[in-house]
Amino acid sequence: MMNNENILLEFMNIDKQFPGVKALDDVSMSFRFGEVHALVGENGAGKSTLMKILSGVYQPSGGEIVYKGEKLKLQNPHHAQMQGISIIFQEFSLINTLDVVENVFLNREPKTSFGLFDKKKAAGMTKKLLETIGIDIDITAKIKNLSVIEQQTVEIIKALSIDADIIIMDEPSAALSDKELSKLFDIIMKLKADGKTVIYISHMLEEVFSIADRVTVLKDGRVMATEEVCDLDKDKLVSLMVGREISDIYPPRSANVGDVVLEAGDLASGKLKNVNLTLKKGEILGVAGIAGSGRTALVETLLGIERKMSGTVSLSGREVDFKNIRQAIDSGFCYIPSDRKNQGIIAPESIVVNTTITNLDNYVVRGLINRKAEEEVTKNQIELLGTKVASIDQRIEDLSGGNQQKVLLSRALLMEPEIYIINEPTRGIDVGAKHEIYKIMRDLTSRGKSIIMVSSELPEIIGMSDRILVMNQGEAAGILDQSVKTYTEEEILSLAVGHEYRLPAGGCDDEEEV
Amino acid sequence: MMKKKFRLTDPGIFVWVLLVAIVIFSAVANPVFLRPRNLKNVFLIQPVGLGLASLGQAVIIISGGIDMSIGAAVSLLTSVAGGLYRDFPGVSVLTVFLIISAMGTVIGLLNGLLVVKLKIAPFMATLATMSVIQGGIFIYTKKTIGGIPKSFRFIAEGSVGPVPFCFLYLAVIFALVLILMNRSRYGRHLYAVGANEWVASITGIAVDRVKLSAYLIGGLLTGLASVFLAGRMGGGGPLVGKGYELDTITAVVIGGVSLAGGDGNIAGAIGGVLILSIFSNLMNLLDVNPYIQMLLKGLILITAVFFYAAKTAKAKGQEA
Repeated sequence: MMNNENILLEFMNIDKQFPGVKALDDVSMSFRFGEVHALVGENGAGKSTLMKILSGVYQPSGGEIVYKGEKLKLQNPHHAQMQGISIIFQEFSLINTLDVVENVFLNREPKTSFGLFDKKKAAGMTKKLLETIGIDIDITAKIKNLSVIEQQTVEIIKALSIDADIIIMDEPSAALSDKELSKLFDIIMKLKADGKTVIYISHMLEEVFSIADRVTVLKDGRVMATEEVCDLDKDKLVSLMVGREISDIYPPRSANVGDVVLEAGDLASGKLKNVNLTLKKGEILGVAGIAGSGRTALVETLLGIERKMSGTVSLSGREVDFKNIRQAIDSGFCYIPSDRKNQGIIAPESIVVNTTITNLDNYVVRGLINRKAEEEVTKNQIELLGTKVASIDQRIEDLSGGNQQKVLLSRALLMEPEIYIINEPTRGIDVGAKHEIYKIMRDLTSRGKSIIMVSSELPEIIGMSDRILVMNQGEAAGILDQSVKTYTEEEILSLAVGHEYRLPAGGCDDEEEV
Repeated sequence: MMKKKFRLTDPGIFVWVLLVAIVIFSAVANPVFLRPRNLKNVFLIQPVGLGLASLGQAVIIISGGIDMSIGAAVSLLTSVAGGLYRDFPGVSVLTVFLIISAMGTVIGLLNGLLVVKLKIAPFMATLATMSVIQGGIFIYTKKTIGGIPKSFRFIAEGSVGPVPFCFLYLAVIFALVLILMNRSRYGRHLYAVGANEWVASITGIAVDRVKLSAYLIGGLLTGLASVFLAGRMGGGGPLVGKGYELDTITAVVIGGVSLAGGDGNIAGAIGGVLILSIFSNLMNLLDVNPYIQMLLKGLILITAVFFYAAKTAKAKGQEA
């Protein structure tokens, strides 16, 4: 059980007060040597604030940090690094135009006797560090030419090169494919074996169960619980996070699926090979597959964003050939892309502007926009979807991910489309908001709208789809009809990778055996 | 629902605070500033040319572009105005007005096509047209061309009652642009395109058409500015518009319009123009060497860009 000698770092009664908000309230928790400790909680729960305190970005308003048995007052991020605390942010802090070695030793370059950058020595050290985590990447490659997981590896190497004892990973899986994720898990296991402490922040509860030893749940700036992962199940974790029981995250499927509204035959483009699909009225068609399997290419080809090279697309039996997305929109499509920040919101503009941009015509009287009318509609939408905003004139970029997504859904709803194409509907959104977005999607289908949902979250695919189209290397590997049976993650993954697939087992079994 | 907080340091509000501050400072620094004749010049006449050109620059910047060719265009268009009167004596005011406006629009069209069709970065495209136009002017004339008759000069020198005609000219055009940008569907689309082209396209906005039109409007406004300037100077010349590209950008940036596009109010640009107008007036009243004035203007631009960048960074930091 708890043994003080095992404790590397401890938060004792940490408070953090921002003007008007108490972001952290009496937070006490500890991290052991060589453990993977997951930190979970909804958006705004205080995870980021706590980690910013630990990495020296913020100073706590009260309480103290005890590190290696001594009180620690962190002055700034550099100081934290010198103490062996390293954080890897969601958005990497790498220089794209420099190579791997240059990035790892940026600002700490080993010098030759002439005072010049000793690249040979740095390269040797980089190689050695890569060996310790068992990964092989081209250290002369520029960062911009590396995949996301490779870039992440560079960040990890960078942390190791300053001899970090604590490595904080903030949502490390956000941009990773499943395959890359298992690579990341391998690296984390190696770090753990070397006695490093990894703090793993994630929205994805499956990951917590796969990789973490212990998990701490934060809610509204307070610690709800710290538990051994083995003592928890998913429902219990979710209810700790949202503070209430969620018996079912996924609302029941609608019963009345109708006729085919969209049909694609032998659709081919640069990344697609002869894909066939149908979409019925009132149906959610899930599109699964690993990253790069052509999921996004498929929907963007349907929408005319990517040009199809051959094949047919027909709407209710009428063949169409979209040359651009505007023609698709005019035919009753709408698209909510996966990259909300860059491809969804219009960042500097207000919630009103973001909501009504698609149907401005409805508010124009004699050439001028009737502000009252568009504000009215925006307020209605906010009420309808339960979007939490301070004011409708607030900039959309100031909202949380879940609320931004709701505004984007409002925008789509106002287009009154028949077919919604939603790419990663709940990426980076906390559990409570996810549930609300699922309800909205279900409500749409019960009103006879059809949805194509691309998602890399398998529980979401299984929980929401009437049928599942599994993509594999640009081809449709199979279509699974869930009205017959509910499929498992293994069954979907096996189709997605083209061979038998088993999910990595969680850490618990091994530990219990010991 | 909570109303948006009103902060004096918000870009878009700060420009008016700055304007009041510089007026007070000027009044204290030199009492001549407050003489009615000077005030009339500083507020109602001086800002008209730069004001019109800056409105065009602002529209283009909000659409996500920039126009480096404004100065050269002004030089060309004023020269042509002089040339028209020289070569076709007795040509009507309306004809000259229409030709200059149309030529401005054509220059805008050219810039727009380079950006939209050839996909050249706006800065490079308009820098290239600047060189093309400037070369063209020198082929056309190496000297200033005067001789613009009184009938045409009414645009700059005439009065309607006590109000200078040129002020009304600016005010009407400003009001039209303001309504276009703030209240029309087109204006909303322009902001959306400037902020995020991709999102604009997936919401069904014809992005290319919107971008092209921004350059057309910008070109037309440059033409309208040139009409005033030709009237004011009684002619034109190859260097008349020198520095206008930078002055318009300075005015727009002081006015709180983001160089990144899609953000800021067009009215701020007029605030920026007034500040620059008062600044030059003050410098002249205080008898400051023109080279030092130029140097100071550069520093003002740096300060403005820095100030707003810092504001934005701070706002971003708070939400994290």
